[in-house]
Amino acid sequence: MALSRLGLLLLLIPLFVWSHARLPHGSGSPPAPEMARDWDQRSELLHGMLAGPVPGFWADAAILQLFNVFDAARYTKGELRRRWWRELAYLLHEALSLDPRFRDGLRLTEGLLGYEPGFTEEAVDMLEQFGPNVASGEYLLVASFLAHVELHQTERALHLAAMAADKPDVGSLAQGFAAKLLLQHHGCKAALAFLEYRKSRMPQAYADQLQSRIERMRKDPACQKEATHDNVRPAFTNGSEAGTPS
Amino acid sequence: MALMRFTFTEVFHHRAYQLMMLACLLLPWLMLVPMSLFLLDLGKVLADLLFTTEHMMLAGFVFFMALPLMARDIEQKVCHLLLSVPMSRSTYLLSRYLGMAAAMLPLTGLLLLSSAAAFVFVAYQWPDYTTLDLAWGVPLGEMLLLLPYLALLGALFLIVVLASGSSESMVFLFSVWLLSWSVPPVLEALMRPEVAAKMPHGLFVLVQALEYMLPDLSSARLSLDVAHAHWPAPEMLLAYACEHLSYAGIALILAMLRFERRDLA
Repeated sequence: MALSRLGLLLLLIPLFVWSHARLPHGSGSPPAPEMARDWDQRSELLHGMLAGPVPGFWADAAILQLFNVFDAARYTKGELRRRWWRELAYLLHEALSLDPRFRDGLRLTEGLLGYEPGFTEEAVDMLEQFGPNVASGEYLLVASFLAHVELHQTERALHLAAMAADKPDVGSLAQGFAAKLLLQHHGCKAALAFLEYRKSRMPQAYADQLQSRIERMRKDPACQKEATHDNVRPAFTNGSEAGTPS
Repeated sequence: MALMRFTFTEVFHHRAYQLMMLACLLLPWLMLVPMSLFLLDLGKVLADLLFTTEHMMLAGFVFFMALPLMARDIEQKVCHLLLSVPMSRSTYLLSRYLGMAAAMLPLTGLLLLSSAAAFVFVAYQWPDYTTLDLAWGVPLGEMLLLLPYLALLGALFLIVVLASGSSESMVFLFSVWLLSWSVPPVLEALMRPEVAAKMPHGLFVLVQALEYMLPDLSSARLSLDVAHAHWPAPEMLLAYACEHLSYAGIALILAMLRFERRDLA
């Protein structure tokens, strides 16, 4: 009896290890989204109910899930790519609606969503909505930059730059940017310098989106033409030079 | 007083309770692993993880230690042994409550000390991503999170004296806990002007009444404020403490009234 139990045990342990290794949770990547989820008032209510007394933890969990989604989204093409990015935007909405002061959520909104074609407006909306909740004005300043350079909404960019100028840490930078907009000295050089500055503030692993935007801008014939004619120093290389309209 | 000490000792000698104490010491340090995955708000993320740990620990204590002990007392007539000495039923319930509330203190105390030490370590290791203020702010926040569970313990006593057995008590307590978890965010959403305009007034009153009947477990705003190193105003803290303690008192008095008339034969 004892031997038969031991034999059965020796048979079942390899069977368990073999089957466990073949289950999908071993792969580590999330399943592809079958349909795009849009964030609305009902989603906000649902996640509020699920989070209960621990909204901060729920927001952290959304950001952790976002890292997995981004890993899949960055290498996907076509319609599936759009769905992945929709999912990423949903997770950012979830994190920021549960914890509106969560700086990681704001940083990822500007660094990832802001430079993905088709999602820039949504990123600017989110930065405009949640940016005033934190002490730093850098997110409002980025929203202003995105509104001007990507969306070509100068009035909105000015409004966001004015909001950012009220914050002590980026006041001079925001004013410099707003001044540039007003004086219409907002060529490619300033935009590239600004993007390089933002890239320097992102961890290397999450700077791909910014880098591809910089490369697209460098290849733009209008920018190449400007580079040959214009030797003006960029305004966004660092904080001390900011605010000096060229 | 003797029964209170006895209750505390009874709980303390459970192996599960001793494991929970060990977990309270170790978990704040284990939480440094998920915390290090984030970019900027490391202190805030650690605070969130610690508050969640405390919610899980205290809910585990109420559901898996306090509820079985009380249900066993009444269902298996163990309370007869204790009531045979000159002790009123109300004194019995009150002593049991105070003993169990006292048993929550070592758990919270260990979590609090370990959290403070973990925050001091994080503040020196990653000074740009957190503030040393959290080393005292988060332990104080953890002390405040104990109050909703004192209220839930009061609700547990009321449920146990009303229910017919342990299964029924578990179902009712779980329902109360689930509603307490999810009703406050719903109510908050219903209070927004754009939602309130579309909703029948009767439904609004119903949800509001439900919120008054349940213990307010949703210390969501307090947790978020403390995690972001914004300490709430003293009058808000006073109201928070009074709300939970008075809820626990009301539930306990109702339980005593019911228990006095209950047929224990």
